[in-house]
Amino acid sequence: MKQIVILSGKGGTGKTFVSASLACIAEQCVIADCDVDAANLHLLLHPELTATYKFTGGRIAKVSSDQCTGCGLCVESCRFDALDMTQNPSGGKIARVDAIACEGCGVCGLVCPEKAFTFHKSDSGRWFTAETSYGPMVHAHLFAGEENSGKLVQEVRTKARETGEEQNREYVLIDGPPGTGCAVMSAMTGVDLVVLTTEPTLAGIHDAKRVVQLASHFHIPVGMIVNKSTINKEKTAELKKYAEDQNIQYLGEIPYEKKVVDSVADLQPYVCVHDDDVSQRLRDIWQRISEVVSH
Amino acid sequence: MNICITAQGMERTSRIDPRFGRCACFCFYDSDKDEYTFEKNAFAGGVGGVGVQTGEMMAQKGVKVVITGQVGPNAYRTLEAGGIEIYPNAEGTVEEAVKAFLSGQYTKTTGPTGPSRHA
Amino acid sequence: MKIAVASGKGGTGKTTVAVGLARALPGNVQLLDCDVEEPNAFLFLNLDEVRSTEHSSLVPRIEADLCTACGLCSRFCEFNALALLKDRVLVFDNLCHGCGGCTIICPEKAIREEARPTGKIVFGQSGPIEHIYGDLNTGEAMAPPLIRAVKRRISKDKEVILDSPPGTTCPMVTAVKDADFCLLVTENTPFGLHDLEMAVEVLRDMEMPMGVVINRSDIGRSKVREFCGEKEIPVLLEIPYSRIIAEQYAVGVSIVDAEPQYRGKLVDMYREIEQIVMAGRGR
Repeated sequence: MKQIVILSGKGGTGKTFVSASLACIAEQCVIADCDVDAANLHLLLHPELTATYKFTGGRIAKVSSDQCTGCGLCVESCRFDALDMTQNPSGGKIARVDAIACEGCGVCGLVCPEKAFTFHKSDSGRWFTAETSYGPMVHAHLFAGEENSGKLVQEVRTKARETGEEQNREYVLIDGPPGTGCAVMSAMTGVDLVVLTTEPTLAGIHDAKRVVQLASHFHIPVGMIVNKSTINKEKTAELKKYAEDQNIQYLGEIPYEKKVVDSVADLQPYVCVHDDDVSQRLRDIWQRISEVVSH
Repeated sequence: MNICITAQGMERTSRIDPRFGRCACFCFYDSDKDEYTFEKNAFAGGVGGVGVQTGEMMAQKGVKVVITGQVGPNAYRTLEAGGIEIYPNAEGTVEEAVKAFLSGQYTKTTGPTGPSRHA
Repeated sequence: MKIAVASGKGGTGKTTVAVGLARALPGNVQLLDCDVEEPNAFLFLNLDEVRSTEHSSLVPRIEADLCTACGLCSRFCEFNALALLKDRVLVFDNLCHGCGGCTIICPEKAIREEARPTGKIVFGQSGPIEHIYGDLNTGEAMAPPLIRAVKRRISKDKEVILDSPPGTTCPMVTAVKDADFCLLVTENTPFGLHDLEMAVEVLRDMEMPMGVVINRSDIGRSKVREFCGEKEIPVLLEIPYSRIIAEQYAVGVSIVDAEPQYRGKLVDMYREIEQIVMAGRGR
């Protein structure tokens, strides 16, 4: 079973557009949407949920108003700007926790002379197993403002891998998150190929290089798709040369056309609705991907 | 000698789990008594530092040898500090792996075998 | 006034709007790029007088002579960054969140903290625009500490524009926190709408005044305008699809140079935001 993650560095280069079509073209795949902060793949693949799981991100501090004397020691000691003092309705000041900023480290509980702090598991999100017309799918939704997306990505990855093994699937297709942080690293580890979907813009190239750096850190091979390739032919050529220099497989190009930008409104993978030059390019791209990972 | 094998299930016939910190189950094999005990891995879903926690647990249980697939850098450091030998790249069932180890077929590693956060 | 520019979905045009606004406004402006994993704004500004400072996180170091191997630090650490093995405490820098708790709990005062470089803060000038951005080292997992460090450089005497990371989780919240107003840049597609809904939820929780910019506004066939109407969120600017803007963006040219009509529109939008913020303060 081969695991493939689609990444971009920069947001908006077309990861989900590509992932959805690859899921349609590839047979025998399990689909994992690891963009847990802003999951969109389900809007194109229409999964039917088979199970929902709770996700606990970490701990959050809670102040007991009975014990807090408003001394403010906790506010001084918190390194994450997660505490401030506020008016206590029954008079005086009381400490207040910013649940989003709180990392659950426990230092406030340690320094509080009145033992006014307790720590609770935070209900941070949900993850789901589902069936789609293209194969089983695992996806997730991190509640707004939460953190620990890396951990939630782990859950999705583990379940996707297990499902793939149970059902003898050939591929795990992972729609990755933007950026190069914790969630991306969790989406990337242990995969057979990173499919870097980039665009021929200054920002796109800059961010793509960071992804390549990260992939090399993890010793994972990279393949490149240049989306919106006709926006700037020089930069597309620059990307192609960069790929050659870095031993990156050049998987293909997709032109910048209004019909492509607009197509997401169809709420279907592009290749399912269109049979044109763009869908042929997507098929060729998958052909190259399957060749690269089978070596 | 207390040997730990990372396993995908709770039987001698279960296959080796290639992950160290996030493996499904642990098998503890006592080579003096030829006894197998199995435990589910409670650390598997942890946020981070799972390799560290698992390594610490091995040391606390007096494990001398770990047989597994891959060990990341955190796990490796922890096990090494605990004086525990690591035999990676094991395959097959728990029982087969134990036999292979005891007949000297495995080589111990002197460093981590892969990057961190295996999934 | 501090205005944050955010979005739920990535790639909707945050940097286009943030840079455009900074370039359009008269007077001295500070443009802070808080997308520390992928800072891009600097590509659109010709920066002079560039300098940078290293940003570090604090990690614990154990004084072996003083350590009695009691294990209190290891048991306290929520992130498994400390492990006690054979009477020695191991420190895992990559897991440490820098809370400082271990230094407090150690009964022998055997733990001190050391600075570990995690990124850099870059400063530059582009005409009247003071630009500051954070650049997180590849492989570092935690954006918020660097984002906070960038925001500590906010100038009280200038108009401040904050280019935020995409998404609706911790890095975005850290960037947007304490702004006077947040602009949400979206596109009129199902993806744009879906992620806009989440971003609005976060900002409502933060009680942040907000407005929407719809980029590529004439394509996508979705219901962003209806959503904004329902939620009483003002749509402050619409930017129709323009191949010229896209092509110029590709080579680092700002929207105000690619299509100069937007200069005036961005300034008008800014005045409208000022009105909203002042009306809010009057309450």
